[in-house]
Amino acid sequence: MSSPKNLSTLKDVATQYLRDAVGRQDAEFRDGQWESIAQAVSGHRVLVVQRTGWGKTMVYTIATRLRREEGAGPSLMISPLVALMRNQELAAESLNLTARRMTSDNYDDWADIYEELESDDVDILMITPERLANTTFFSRVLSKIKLGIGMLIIDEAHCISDWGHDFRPDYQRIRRIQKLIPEGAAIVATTATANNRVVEDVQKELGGDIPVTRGSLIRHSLKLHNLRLADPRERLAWLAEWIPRLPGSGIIYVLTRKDADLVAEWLESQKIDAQAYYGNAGERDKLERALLANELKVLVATIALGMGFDKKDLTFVIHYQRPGSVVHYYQQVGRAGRGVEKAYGFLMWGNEDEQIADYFLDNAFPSQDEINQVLEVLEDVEGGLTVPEIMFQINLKGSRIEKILKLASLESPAPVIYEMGAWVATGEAEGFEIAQEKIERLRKIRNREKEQMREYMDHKGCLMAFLQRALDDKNVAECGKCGNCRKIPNQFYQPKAELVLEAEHFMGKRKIFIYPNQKWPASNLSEHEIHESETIKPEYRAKWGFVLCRAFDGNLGDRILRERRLQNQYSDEVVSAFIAMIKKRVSKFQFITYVPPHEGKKHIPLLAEAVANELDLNLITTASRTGIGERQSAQKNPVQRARNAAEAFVIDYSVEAPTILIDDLIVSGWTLTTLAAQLRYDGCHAVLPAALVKRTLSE
Amino acid sequence: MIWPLSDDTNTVLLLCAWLGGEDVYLPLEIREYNTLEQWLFQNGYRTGNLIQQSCAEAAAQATGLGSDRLTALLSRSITLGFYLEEWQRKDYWIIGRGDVHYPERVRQFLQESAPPVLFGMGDRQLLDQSATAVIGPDQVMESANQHAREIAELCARHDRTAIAAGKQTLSAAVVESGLLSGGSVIWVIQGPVFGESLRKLFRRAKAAGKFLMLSGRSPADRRPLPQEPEVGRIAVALCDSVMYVDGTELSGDRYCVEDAVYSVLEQRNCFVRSFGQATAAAERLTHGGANPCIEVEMAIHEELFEDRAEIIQGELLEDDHPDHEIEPAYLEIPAPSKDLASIEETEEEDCETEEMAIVEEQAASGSGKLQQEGIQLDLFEQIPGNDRKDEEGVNTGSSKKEGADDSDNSSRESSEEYGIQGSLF
Ligand SMILES: [Zn+2]
Repeated sequence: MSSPKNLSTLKDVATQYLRDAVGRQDAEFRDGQWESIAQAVSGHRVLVVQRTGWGKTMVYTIATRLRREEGAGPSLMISPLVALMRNQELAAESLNLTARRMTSDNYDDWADIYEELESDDVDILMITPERLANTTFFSRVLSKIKLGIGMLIIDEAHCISDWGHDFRPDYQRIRRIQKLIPEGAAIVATTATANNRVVEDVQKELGGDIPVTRGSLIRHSLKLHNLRLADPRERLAWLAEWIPRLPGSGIIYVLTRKDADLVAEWLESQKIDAQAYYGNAGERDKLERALLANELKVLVATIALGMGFDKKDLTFVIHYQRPGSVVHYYQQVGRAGRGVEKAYGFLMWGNEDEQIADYFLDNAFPSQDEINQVLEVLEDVEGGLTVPEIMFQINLKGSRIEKILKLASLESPAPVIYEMGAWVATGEAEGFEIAQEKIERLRKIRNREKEQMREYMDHKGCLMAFLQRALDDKNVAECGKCGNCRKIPNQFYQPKAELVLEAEHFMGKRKIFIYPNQKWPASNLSEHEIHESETIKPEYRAKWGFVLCRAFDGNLGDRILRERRLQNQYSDEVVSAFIAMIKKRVSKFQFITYVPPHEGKKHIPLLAEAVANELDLNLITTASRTGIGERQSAQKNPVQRARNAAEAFVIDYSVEAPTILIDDLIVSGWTLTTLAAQLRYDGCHAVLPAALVKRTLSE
Repeated sequence: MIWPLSDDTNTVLLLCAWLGGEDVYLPLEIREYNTLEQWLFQNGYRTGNLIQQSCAEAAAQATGLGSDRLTALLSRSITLGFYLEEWQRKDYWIIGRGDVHYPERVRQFLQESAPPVLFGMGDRQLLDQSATAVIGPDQVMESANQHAREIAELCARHDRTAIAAGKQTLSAAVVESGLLSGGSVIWVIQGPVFGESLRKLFRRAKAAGKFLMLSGRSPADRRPLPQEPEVGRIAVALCDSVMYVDGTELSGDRYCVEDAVYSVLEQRNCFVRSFGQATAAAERLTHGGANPCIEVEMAIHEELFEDRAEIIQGELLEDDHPDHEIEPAYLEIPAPSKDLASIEETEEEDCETEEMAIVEEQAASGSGKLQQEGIQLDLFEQIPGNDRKDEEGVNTGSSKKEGADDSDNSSRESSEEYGIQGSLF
């Protein structure tokens, strides 16, 4: 677009924009910044590999401004980092540009954005890669941009490469899109984390010898520590002991929501200002703001707290469990110390995270057989099917089916397409084969990453240097600040014994609820009237119930599962803990009944009997098994599980008075929901479920 | 290799393709594009050279197309990339007029009115095989539809591709009957073909390499049907012989099929079949030299597809013809359903109307889905008057037709093979 001779004039203009934006008249571009801008402004492609905080945003914001002044259409930025988009909006403002984002948390603004696009009032439009899958992206977004997109910004460009540390399916489309874009288009691809192999791969994908700006990834402010505290009680105790001593505020990373709750509740009980970070977007937004404003000491987050979260004065990042790879660790821990002189990264891990990592790995990709099942169902119908409709026909998890459809629909040509509200097979569906070697390769990469993470955990040398080497940073140097450089002995990290005990006590007394289902996962699960409508009528619903503990808690939960498997009845210790919970939480119930056991099993009736005796309740056997159906654990999705439960029981004796309904293990909850509905249909005024142990489906 | 597209085809797309929402700078009309192409050719450029600013400016200047407009159209390249990926994923192929893959017959027959870009789906080898266009106006009687079905079926039996044009009951009959009989079908329409391809019968036929859909318009083009769509002309260009199925006197002709057939009377063997009184259109075609078909005499139609050995000998007379036992293969196949129904020629494939939003919602919630199994996809409108009693066709006499000069198609063996030169009656 611009010829070289006016580039130097442009540089002056650009420098002025930079100075205005940062509010300092002596500001100059960093190495590589202007070079990248110049590439984009002249309609070329450029790859920017720089750590967060280096100023990638400034590159594409200034490039956008210069191109807009030459009459180009708005820039389109694709980024999975919604949090970053908010910062981007501000950065654009500082350059008198209008940035707008279309993400799942601002639907209400979309109509306005369409209008602004139509009147060319948007300079930078930001979308998540998932948006590409929606046909409205074409009809409502692309078609509104009259001048055509002026510049394409691909954030997290390492995802274009299969060798990248995170696999985001939608980036396969971005990879193809940028390949199909005719020559002479301005494309800026950015990433903060990529090793040589990934950089080369992305470079190749983007079109060969495109220029790369690459800088050092080291963060000098960061002091890294590896803590060998496998027991969850010790880790909790450590947090309670050390967080109050750490300056400023920080983030604790956990792998599951369950752990987020556990850690946050524990810290709160220790008078530490902590909150669990997940849930809906609005809530998350609120929590992010609270942390930004230092209203919180610590946010306990799953990886949902995305990479875009940028708090300059974040002083510590603690990992309660290990992340999937060293690169992930670098990214997450690198969120601390961006704008402060001293910051801390603590890595802890437990026995459970290995299991969780394996689970994620095993379930990362569907098998050919699973794909065939889904495609065959679709191939066979005219029109298409929704996921719940598919769930009705095949015994696979809904999330699994969704994943299969998503992956398959991203193939090109695609064997299945989401069209007008349903998944439809295309001519490619028959005989479709997923590229096994590619999946195998990805699996190997993930395994290698896991290995590397373990090496990092066991590493005796400088931790920062390890991270730098893993990311092919050219300037590897001992940091002199990390736990290993300073030769801190492990005993130093050992928490106080009384806090460990307190943590144990805390873990034992946490309330776990059984949330009554409000809807069946499909209609017409059986002939029974409780299944007449998809919504479970309020008069058939159970009350909120209680569970004694969770599976795999390193404590009572493990023990209960073991006893369930190996003994004929539960130990006195388990039974009395259960009785204590019911005594504490339930009153005004005079009757107790139980889920009829499978043949030959006596655990549940004996447990119910013990509770009835101890609490002076009337024990009645209300239901028996019909013998129809299979074991609930063999069912893979809610429809199959609910349908399996739907015909499993028959009520032999009805009871009108409010009744406690006992089960030992609760997983999906459909057994309790169904039996409660049947009891209530037969006249019971209230049914309160109670169980020994709760296991989530992934466990 | 169609993907990735050549620079030339990419540039033609930037210049000519509607990507939806254009209002300030409109994509080039064919005639404008022709002017530009001519200028480029004369000055030793390829279309792809327009990416260079100097070339684009000179071209804009010389052709009077306006520099702003050309620049604006050419700057749609990122936007185009998004569309291309979507189309590629939906298994479209895209061929520019300058592309070696562009069907030679369309290029030669339509010449400068040949669409600058063709968008299609399905096995492109079908474009090179012998084919019979079974086409007609918008409204025909049920007996005419039946006739069209039988022809399509005969095509299937004789390994000859049936070509249908536009979206109306007649073409539906041809497409469905042809595919159900196991034959190959080319369907020329105006607008997006992807939505159509999802029907079970169609997607299976496409997978088997037996179904090809073709349009001269970008799938993102939502404009209404133009005054003179090239659908009919592309259909006759691609075929070796034409069966014009006459409609009712009141019938419209949205796809300009009559004119298309008229223009090809010299080059293709054309037959006209009327039901009841021949319409003015049919009269015009027969006076121009098309062969009137008298009744649904299958034996005669079979001649359309006879082996070369028999026909090439020359002027077979009707009487000379061996009696063919007609094996109504189609009777074993479920008759095409009545509710092959209605979509107006529509641009709605991707467009989100309010209703669609509702459908999407319903579908998402699992309570409703678009098409239930067993219910035929409503594709074509039932035209009022279809249920009128079929009148016996009137014999307008048969005439011999001298062989058309098929030099146009000398590169293809099909025209020889099927001996269309010979008179059939
Ligand atoms: Zn160190």
